[in-house]
Amino acid sequence: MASAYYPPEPLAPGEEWRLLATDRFVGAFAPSTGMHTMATLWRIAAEPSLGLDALVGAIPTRGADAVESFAIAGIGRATVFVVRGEACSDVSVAGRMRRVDARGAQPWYVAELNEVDRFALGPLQRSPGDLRPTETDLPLDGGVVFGPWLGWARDIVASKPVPPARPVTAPSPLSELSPYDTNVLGDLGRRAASLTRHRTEPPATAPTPETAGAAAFRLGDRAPERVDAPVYVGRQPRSPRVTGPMLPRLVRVESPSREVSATHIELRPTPQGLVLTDLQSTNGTVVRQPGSGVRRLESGESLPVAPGTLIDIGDGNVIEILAYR
Amino acid sequence: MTHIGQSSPGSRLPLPHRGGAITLAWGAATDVGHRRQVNEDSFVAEPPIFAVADGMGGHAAGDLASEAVVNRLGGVIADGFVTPAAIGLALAQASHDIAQLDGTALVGAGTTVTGMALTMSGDDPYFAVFNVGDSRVYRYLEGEFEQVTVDHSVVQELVDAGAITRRQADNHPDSNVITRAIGFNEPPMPDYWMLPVEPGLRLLACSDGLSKELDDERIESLLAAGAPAADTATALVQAALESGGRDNVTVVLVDVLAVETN
Repeated sequence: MASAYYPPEPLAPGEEWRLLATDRFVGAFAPSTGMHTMATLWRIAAEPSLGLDALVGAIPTRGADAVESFAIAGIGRATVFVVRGEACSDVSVAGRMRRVDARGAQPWYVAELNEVDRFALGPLQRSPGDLRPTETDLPLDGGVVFGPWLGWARDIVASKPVPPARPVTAPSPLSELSPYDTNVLGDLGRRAASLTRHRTEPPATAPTPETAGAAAFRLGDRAPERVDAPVYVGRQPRSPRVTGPMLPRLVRVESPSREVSATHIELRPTPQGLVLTDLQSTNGTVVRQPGSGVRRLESGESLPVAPGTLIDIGDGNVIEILAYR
Repeated sequence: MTHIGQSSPGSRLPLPHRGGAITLAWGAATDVGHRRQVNEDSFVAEPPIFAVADGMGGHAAGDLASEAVVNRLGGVIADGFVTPAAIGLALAQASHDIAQLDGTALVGAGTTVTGMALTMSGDDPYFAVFNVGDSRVYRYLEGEFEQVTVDHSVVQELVDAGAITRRQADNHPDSNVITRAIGFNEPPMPDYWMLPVEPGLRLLACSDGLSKELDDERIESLLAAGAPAADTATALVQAALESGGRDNVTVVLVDVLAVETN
């Protein structure tokens, strides 16, 4: 009955992708994805009133639970693929093969394809094969399992009795698109200052990956956070204008004596590394850099900051810059 | 004209994760104006999305374009507090919908969109203000009034470049030419601003039918008068009509009545 399938190969714990399937969605999530996250995603995927945007919106893309790589397909008359990081989807469109990968887009890349016969979701470092289930593959009717990748084929459904109709995604003008056409909804990330760790082996179809040294910060004894978008720290921080899909991170700190300004500093990721800017704070910013002692930033001044740097914005609030593995 | 949501004199919204809640009031009003035959504006006024879209294009295409955007944004409502990615996806899907509208291939159809969406940054509630085009979001808090969004317009670019002054911009012949939109076969490129949800905060999203009829001082004085959100929305539209009402005019207003944190 199922149109999803997977190879039940024994794998090392760090190599098991989390594979999710319902009759409306299938997805493959990187091995680091926590089961708590998978449980949440399963509940959303299994809820008929929620759509693909709800499922994608529920995937954490930053912080400790961030899912760095995933590939999701929304099954309808057209098939919508959402891919991130080191995941991809190999798709057979009216008999022709193509690979949909994230191409460094942040937070993910979206493509919509008609006439999809078969596809497979999984890691980039994988041969697509011929996208047909073999005798050893197991069907996946619905649920979450572990495996190296997830396959889906429309012809499995066609050759078997048709299952009773269940709600599918609402009809949309998208279904009127001409066949064989790639309809990219938008490369939402190419303009973003993305800080994706670059791939070791870019696929032939991908443009040159953006390379950058990734960084993280830690405020006091809070958990470290990766910097993948501008960070604003202050008593009641707000952000200036930001263009692109990566919304800034706002970090609020306690400042009983109001020594910290409402929006005190910015940490901005750039291809050359992290840049600290004092945002015209009232009381200034004190920086201790490894090997060069302590200095005070003038109001509005910027400074590249390396891992090991300590930033004091007042009232005991100290931010440490870390390297991100 | 498509609208989603009803005004509310006060609704308590629990925060995701850690407990706590915020209480918002909101109102919306729209009018076709004195000169136009069709109201091509649309709006959403229901947590977590408050937005205004001003459609452009002949033969009612603009109406369909603004409808496409509010329908896609409306699709996000069921999910509670939004992620920025959900807004980006909704706008990308709307852009795609507009490209598929019947009969618009030759004339082109598009829309502005601006508004505010409730989101979380860590444990703190925020408004993610978003903008594409020349509709605007204004912020009023404790006597301070400011325009949050920056127009995507030729005139704004001239102001930014120092070629003309702000006051010259108001009467510039190219004041209707915008540089970004949803539709016209362009991928959407929204700007975002993150504003903390604070007690007393009042945010106004409006189409240019308001901002081209009323100057900043007039808008500020109506916000500062302190009438409830729904009444203020109606008063703003009424004032724009009395000043000429040359375009469709639409406003969505949100008040933060209370913030409870744990």
